[in-house]
Amino acid sequence: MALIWAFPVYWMINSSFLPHNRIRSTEPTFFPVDGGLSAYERVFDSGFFQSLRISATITLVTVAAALIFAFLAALALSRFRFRGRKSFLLAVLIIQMIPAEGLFISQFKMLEGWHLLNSVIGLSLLYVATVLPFTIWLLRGFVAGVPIELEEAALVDGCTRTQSFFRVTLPLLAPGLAASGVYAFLQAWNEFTLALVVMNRPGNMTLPLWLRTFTESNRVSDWAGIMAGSVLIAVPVIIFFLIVQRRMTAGLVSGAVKG
Amino acid sequence: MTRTGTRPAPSAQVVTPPPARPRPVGMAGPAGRGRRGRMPYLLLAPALLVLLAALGYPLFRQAVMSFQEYGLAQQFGKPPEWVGIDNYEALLTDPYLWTVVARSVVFCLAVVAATMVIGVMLAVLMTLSPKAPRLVLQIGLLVAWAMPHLASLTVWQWLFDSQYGATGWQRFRLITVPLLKPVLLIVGLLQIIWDLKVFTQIFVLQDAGGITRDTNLIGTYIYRLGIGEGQFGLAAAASWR
Repeated sequence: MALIWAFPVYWMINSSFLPHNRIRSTEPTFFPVDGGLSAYERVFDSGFFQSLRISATITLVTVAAALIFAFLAALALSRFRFRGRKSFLLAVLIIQMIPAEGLFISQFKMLEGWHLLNSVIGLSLLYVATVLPFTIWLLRGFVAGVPIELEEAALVDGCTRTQSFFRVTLPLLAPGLAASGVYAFLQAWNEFTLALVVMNRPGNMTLPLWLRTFTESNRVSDWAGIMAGSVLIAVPVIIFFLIVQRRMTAGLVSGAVKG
Repeated sequence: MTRTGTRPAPSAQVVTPPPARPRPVGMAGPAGRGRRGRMPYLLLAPALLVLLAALGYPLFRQAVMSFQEYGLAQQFGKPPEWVGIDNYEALLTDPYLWTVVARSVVFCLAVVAATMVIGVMLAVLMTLSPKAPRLVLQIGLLVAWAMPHLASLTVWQWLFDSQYGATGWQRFRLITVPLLKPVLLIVGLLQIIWDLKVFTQIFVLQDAGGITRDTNLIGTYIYRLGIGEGQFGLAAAASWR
């Protein structure tokens, strides 16, 4: 099973080192024997860093905003009872049923009207809205899973309400926040369609859009370049995931309730 | 994390069985009520604002558009004409729409069932395998851009990473499934929604030479109507249905 997943990944890395004629050859080349780094040089020369900066900014904004907003909303939805709670939850669920393909026409026109086309803010806004429904639902479950008695126990022990929240509840919510963060990160990092619609100026490409330039610039598709680019796009995801993963395990172990 | 929800609280609650499902614990008690009346709304406000701005407003425009003649001429500045329910009538009387709907439902059911079963199996597999293969699995998953599943799989994996004494099928059936029930329900529900909207995969595969008419699901149908044929009004109506 691991092989099924790992092989394409290995293949991607392998191909990124191969010279052009080797990739297109009918004989598969399993190891990059006479390979080189030329594909990576081409990638770095063709605007990778500019796109990286744009993608990184958008991803950062999206993850931060989505986490904070979703967390506050989840807090409201699971710790309070108030008028409109049920309908909000339902609305959030229904929102997800709207086909994005139908919506991006009006989203484009809206951003056009607000002069937010080709802007980091504009695209981030759409991304945050895309991930919010799921993250709200996810975090709501997590917040509800932390017994209020734990907070009350902290209160009895002399914490203020704020302290009890930050010292007791928040660490227990870490896995949920991490899962939401991963989700938001991947959405902003990999999303293609909305980026294509909103970022229509050549200097403004996010990484997935930039990757496309290797296949369409009036020349033979540069497969090694695509593979090298994909590797470079995937690396931050893996690093991010590994960091978050370790944090989470630590968060669980240091939590108030041990399993 | 649901694990913590089912544990008895550190108070004298040992005899009562823990609630099967985490349920919202209100700030019940008459004292908190008045002062905290505005609090939940304040907490909700940022999320609500973003959702309204980026989804609600376009949705509203979409709804308006679905009652208008909104084609290529309107794209270039001609004011849209009101056509009442013409768009809906045209759609609903087109037998092809119903073919697409039926196909979407069948597709959705099959995919939801398959993803749920395989997802749980993989999550179990990930907890059972030693660290190194598990890392390979994880990275493979990530790089395969398994976006929506990733979040849920990650959660499952953390949930599975418990230190209970029991092992095997029993542990899975008696402990994991009940604990995961809320997650499974939410993921299942969202999965249904997501699969009904599946677009990219079909769209790309259609470009690889499939017979478009025979493989359109709701998402691609809307796209082909709207972008392909410039009938934004019709497309808007279809997305409302």
